[in-house]
Amino acid sequence: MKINDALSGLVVALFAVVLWIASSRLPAMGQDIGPNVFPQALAVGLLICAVLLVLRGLRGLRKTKARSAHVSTFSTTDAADQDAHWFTLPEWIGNSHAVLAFLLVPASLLFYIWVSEPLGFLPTAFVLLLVLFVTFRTRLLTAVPTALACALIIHTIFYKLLKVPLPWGILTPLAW
Amino acid sequence: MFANIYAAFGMVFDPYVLAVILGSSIFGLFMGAVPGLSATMAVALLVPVTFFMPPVPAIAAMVSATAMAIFSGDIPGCLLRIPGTPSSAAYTDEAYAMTMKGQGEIALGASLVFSVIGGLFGTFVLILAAPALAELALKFSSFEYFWLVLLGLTCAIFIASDNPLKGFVSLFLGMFIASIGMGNPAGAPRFTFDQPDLLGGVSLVPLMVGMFAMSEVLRFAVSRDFSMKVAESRVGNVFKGMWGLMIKYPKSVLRGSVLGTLVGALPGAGADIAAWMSYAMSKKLSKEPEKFGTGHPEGIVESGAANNSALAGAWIPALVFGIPGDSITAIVIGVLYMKNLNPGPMIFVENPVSMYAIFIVFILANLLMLPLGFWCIKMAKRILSIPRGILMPLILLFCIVGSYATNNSVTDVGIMLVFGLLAYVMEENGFPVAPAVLGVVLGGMLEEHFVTSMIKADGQFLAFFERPIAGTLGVITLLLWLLPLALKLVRRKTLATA
Repeated sequence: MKINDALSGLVVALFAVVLWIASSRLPAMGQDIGPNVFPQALAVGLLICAVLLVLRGLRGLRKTKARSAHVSTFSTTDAADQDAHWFTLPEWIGNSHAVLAFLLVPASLLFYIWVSEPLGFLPTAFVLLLVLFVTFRTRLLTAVPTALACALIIHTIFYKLLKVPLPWGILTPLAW
Repeated sequence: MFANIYAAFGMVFDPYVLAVILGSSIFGLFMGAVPGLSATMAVALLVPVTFFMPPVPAIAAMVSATAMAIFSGDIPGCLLRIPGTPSSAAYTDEAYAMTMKGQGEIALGASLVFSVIGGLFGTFVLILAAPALAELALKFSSFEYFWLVLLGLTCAIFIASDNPLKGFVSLFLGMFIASIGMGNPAGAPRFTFDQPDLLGGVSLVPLMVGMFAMSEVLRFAVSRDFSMKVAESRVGNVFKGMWGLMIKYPKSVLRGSVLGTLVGALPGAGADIAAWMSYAMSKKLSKEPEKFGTGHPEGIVESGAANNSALAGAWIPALVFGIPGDSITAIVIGVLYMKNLNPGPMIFVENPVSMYAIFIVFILANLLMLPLGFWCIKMAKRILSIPRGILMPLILLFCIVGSYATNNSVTDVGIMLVFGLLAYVMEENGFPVAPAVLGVVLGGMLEEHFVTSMIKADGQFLAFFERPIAGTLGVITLLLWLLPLALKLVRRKTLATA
């Protein structure tokens, strides 16, 4: 996802304003240099950058518009392309498999967050690895034993060697 | 002093520490050799594991893993024309050209031997320079530190990114993240949204794991190349002919090592920039520049030494001032704080034994690179044939468990998710990630020195320039900020009059 500098500048500017307002509401704590001073300085810095980003983004848009009127064939390079549009979707967006693979990464984190406690680490890790292996084009015959072995190895490293209390979940009666 | 060095030897030559060094060396060699996994990522993945170790083995793990990864990044460059880490990119074409000419052995050997020499040179400078600089830094007050941190951050932006404006945005964002929680001079809870988990601030481990490792998994997911083809080549004795190269190019070795150490020590510029600069310099000063690019070892000798010496050089400002020289030491500084080994000049007074131990680990890791590197070159084909479709999910699971392990809470997995996605979107749009991490690590320090100085100065900003060293540092910082703007104005004026 490529966003034109003018748009990212606007986002940064909005963030800077929110940051300034949120900081100004912080309690003063009876000092001259309260907890608000540093974040507000950051907000000012961000705002300056935001203005410069917007200016540059607009200049890029104008330039490519002027250029593409003359030589449209020359402006197909990545950088020029990015400047020419407000918003460019990534080239992999048309490939449904790539979109699935991309979305699966955050999805597997959410899966872990919600499921690991009740289900236990080992089953969660096994399912997570298996789904990702298969998505990344590993044959099922390789994927199943690899997922099982890797889940056990990572469990041993963290649970036995580093003493991290990974949850047992449904396997609690079998805990070793 | 000798008692300290003796104690340090005892600390390092302990079976547990030696096992950690060996294990993380193999881990580092592997991470460097697989394209898409970098030295920075190796350190980020090590953080959760080192979390459970005493300080010396924790640091030892990071030192040995990174040294190995920077070397082994050369291997796929040589065999596949894909640099294993960004630090090898400068001479990948050259090394691959040598493989094509049937000289892959010499290219790999030169990478290995001159990596070791560069690494040892950088270590030597670190051992000499760091305590001396620390002596000077003991006289620093909060004014000097304020400017020093600001100067370091400024250098980081101007050197490390081709787009300083976006670098600034990234840095400010990082400092904002640092200001979340109660860890500020006033002790007021800021931007916590009444979440008790955020009172202690954003945990550093999931943040770094997310920004450096998870974002890489995301990039891989859409990259569409799940396997690689290795060039057919036989590798025999890689040490053959190395003494000849050493005698033929002694100046290159020295130049690469010196330049690498200096570039590494500059805040913000790391091994990759050192390698590019060194390769360019080697070509410029060579007697036969026309041979560069056709499979000529001279550039590999010089920049291979440079990227490994940069690694040690980056530790100088990290240990003495607590200012990271590159993204690796940015992570290391975070770990040092977690281990109560607060970097700064006092570290040499308070923890001399640990410091000597770190120096010994550096020497040991570089020497260990000779046999382990040799073995890794022999194994290269097998390592490179492991499908990345299997590696990347494993790395993701490792990231999850690592983030979870620091506080035993799934909140940290959520933090990793947020920062992984943020880092991905930022990099897609040309916002460098390293300044953000520097901002997170240094933001608290900058605010603290700023507030302390302002209170000392009674709100008079001019006091920041009254002490000689502080004044000089301040003027340099301001010049760095204003110079690009001034140059632009001058250029515009000359254009207008012309």
